[in-house]
Amino acid sequence: MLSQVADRPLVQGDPVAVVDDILEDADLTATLVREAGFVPVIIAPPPPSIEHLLSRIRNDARALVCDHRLTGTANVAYYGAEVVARSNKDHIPAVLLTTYADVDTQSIRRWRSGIPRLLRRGRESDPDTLFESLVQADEEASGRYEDNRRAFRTVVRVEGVRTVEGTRVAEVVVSAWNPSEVVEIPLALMAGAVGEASDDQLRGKRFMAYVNIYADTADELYFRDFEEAPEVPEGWPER
Amino acid sequence: MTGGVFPEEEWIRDTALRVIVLDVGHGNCAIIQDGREVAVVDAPKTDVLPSCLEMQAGPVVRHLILSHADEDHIGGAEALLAHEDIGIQQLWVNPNSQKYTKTYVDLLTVARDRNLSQGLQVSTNLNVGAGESLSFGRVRIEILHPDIVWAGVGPNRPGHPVGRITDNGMSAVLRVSLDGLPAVLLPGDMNAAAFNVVTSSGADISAPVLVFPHHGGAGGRNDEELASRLCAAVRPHLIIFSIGRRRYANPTPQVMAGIRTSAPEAHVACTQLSRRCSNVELDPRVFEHVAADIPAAGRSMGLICAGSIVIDRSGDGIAYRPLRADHQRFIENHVSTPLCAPAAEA
Repeated sequence: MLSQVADRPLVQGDPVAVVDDILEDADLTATLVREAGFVPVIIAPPPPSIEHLLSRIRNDARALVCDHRLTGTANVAYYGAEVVARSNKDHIPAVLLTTYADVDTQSIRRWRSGIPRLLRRGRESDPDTLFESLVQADEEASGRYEDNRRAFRTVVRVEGVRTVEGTRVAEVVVSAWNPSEVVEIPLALMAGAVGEASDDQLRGKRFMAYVNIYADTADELYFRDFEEAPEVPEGWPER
Repeated sequence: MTGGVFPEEEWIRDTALRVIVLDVGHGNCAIIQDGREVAVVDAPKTDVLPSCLEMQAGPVVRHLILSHADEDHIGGAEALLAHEDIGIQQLWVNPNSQKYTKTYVDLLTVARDRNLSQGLQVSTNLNVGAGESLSFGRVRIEILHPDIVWAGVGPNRPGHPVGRITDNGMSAVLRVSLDGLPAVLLPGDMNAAAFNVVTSSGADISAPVLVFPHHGGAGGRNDEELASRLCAAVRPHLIIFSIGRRRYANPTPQVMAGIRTSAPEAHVACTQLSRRCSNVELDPRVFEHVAADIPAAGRSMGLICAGSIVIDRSGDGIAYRPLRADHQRFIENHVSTPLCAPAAEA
């Protein structure tokens, strides 16, 4: 049971789980993990139950590198983003490695708060970057966040609502991050604060949420803990 | 003004009494510090401001003062208000119906949230009527503009009985004194109409350091005249242009001509290298003349001229860094066509 060693920093030589639905891809990732100085533990294909997968990771590995789309050949109903986020929550440092970072934006965004690093296969899949990413995840597991990953309570303004590939998404602006850029997020993230509001009622509405407003790029942004924003008092400031 | 000897203590010392004009690129931002208490004047979007404040463990931000509602003065205010490590006690804003944008309401919403959760005070009377409300400790901050009438009218359309008031004309004009000595004039984006109102009030706007309004550019056809009249009234030893080279080519030759007329001996210091002065980015290793312990937006990009400028109450007077001689040496060695050099007059 390796989870007992999570009290110490991740070091080279530690076992790192490699989760992928395609064995050939898992082998490629395992090579990368080995070159980064760790011992790969391949789990391919993943089991149908995410609980079983997380349990196996806890038992066999000190960290995790996970593919995002796991549904290719495996009979699973979850994404790698959820596995990574839940693994990090369990204090097992994990990073996401995928070719679909710019396509599966909503399924990744939903779990982005628990994904310290999102690595794109190819340009970001080198041993040094993987090592740095796992160390960063290990730091977050200990509560130490880099500036671009720290979340602050701020305003999220809804500009519109639409459906993207079957997922209801809100088009939002986070002025504290960039007042000129709209970001799409799954409406499900806001479910508790939105209530029964219609799309028309949501348009223009403001919420308070925790957002990592010092993120460098839109794909690094994460959102959590939505609440309805307070109204600005009438005449404050006097117009 | 003592331009030669500058104390080299860390700026975070408890006894520091100073104004830091931060290099934020195009925009304005000044930190006014008395020990652990500070006031921040304008907050454009930049990492430099929170970084500088975070250098001081547990700073007490007495006032966050937003001179007016232009993006290059308020774009980072919302992020600053959201920052958990930086406690702000009071936010000062000016009403501006013409800038009541979605982004501005976002800012006010964050302010309201902090007002409810942390007791942030929000004041909307940033005008001469606020008197000494901004002063704290050994720092005196005089509000010289807008006056009561302009504040009551706000930005308007041409033909108004009071006269045309633009967004820039509503910009707050502040004079900062350190332990009884006038130190810095912070006029925001003050234009000629606002300058006329200030001077006709009889207010003393003299200060050894002038942060030139509107980043030294595009004020209109009377740029040269305004620069000349402004410098004659302020009588500055140091004139700072808070600029970024990427968006605008400031300061304009007209502004520089006006300065030469009224303040020919003044030290002119741009926070970043103007496009008019140099078209190359420099190796950051040549920035030995700048305050190394103060963050500056242009440092990593190789765009610093004077960088972030520290104005300190020192001994019997006001001192600043980078020192004039050091800055001059940097310009001579690394800037190909310096607008501030006497030869540029021709």
